[in-house]
Amino acid sequence: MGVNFFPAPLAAGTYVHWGVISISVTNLAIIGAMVVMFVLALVVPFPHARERSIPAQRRPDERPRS
Amino acid sequence: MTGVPVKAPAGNWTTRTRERVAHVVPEGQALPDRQPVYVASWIYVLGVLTIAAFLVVLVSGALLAVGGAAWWHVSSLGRFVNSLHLWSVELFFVFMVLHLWGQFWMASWRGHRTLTWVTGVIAFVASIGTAFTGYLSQSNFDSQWISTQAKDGLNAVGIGAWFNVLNPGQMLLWHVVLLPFAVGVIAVVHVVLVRRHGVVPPIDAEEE
Repeated sequence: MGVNFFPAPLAAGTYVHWGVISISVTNLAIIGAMVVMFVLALVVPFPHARERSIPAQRRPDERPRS
Repeated sequence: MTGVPVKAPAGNWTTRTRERVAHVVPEGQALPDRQPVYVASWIYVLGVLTIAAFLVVLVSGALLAVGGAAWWHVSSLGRFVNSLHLWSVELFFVFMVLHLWGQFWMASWRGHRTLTWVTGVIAFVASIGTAFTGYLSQSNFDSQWISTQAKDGLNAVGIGAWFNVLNPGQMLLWHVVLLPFAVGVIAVVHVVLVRRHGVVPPIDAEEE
């Protein structure tokens, strides 16, 4: 049993080209997943939202907004 | 001993520090157990998820420091902790960028929260520097390649003599001491400012 210290070089991966933009499919998929997560964070209801909340109010130290 | 509290003299630095802390974060604001209704949204969870990921980064990084490069390259446990460090950093940046998007579209600098926004920007930039020096500290061919590519850019802007990416000792110390300390301090200031000014309300939720 030994450790292979010299593995075969990894492939560079598949890239998407669009004009001056060149991005790997992996990075594009990660950005897409982040956009999906962002949208889900906006639309998915938060559990037990009203149980530990206080009504929106201005803090004593905060000036009225213009 | 009468038990009567003795008033500290006005010039006492301890008193001044206590009053300053109480002014920055008044009692009850440091760890509130109730929040305005608009905070009940997943978009407000991304900041604390970033902090949670940062804590995993710190703990896994400390374990890597204990074991050393040979351990994290060769042993099974070392490789696991190495991967834990990498993936916690990935999650750290994912959550931080999602937090950034949320706060940007919410215009979170409103309501005298400019410094909160600015400290977030500084934390983001410092985190990128920490990640880059981490790539340089892997002690493998990747770090060798990345450092030789990075040196030209840094030399072009004139800082290569002070920040030498071909010096693995310097890069490792920046990665494990200076930059994590900077990120940690800025993050604490950022959180204190959030507590001081409160979370920003959504644009359509006027504070009454």
